[in-house]
Amino acid sequence: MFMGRVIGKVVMTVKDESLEGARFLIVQPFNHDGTLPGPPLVAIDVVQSGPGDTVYLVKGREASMPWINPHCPVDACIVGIIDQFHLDDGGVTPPGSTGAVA
Amino acid sequence: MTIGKVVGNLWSTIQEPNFAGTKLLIVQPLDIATRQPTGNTIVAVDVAQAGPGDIVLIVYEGSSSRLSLNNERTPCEAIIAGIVDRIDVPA
Repeated sequence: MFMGRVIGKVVMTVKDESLEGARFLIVQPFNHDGTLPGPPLVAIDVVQSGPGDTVYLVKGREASMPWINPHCPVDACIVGIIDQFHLDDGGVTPPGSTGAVA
Repeated sequence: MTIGKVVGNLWSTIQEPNFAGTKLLIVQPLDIATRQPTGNTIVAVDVAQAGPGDIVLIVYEGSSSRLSLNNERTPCEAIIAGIVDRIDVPA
């Protein structure tokens, strides 16, 4: 899993029927030191997160498991909203204060 | 599998229900030869009771990770499977 910030959403009318009702959010991943590992990605959401939330995501086969139909075509899923994270060298860090994705 | 260093932890109140009771740590993967940071930060479920600063064994692959959790329905592909005491790499 990895951390990311929700920066937007994707709306689709026509999609695979197993994904009916799913929410697709755009997430910018970030590393603990504030650097960005890569470009934003699209992930489904099962924890009702929204733009501005700091979240953690699972990638790969496991990403489809939380959805109603576990055989849906999905490779990234937001599985939790981060309240805050603590770095051993930097005190308690509220979500968003990494500076990387502000 | 690879090794990494525990650099932090995170709190999450709203999470996928199967994560209830798990401990999530922030891990920086290390190059096994040089012990230098390499690659991107991982959030992993800790099943080895690791703590801050520990060098740990990371399994970053789906099905094998889930098998070591009590709940195979946990949508998790990364776990901390052990705490490294020593690494021997003969020259």
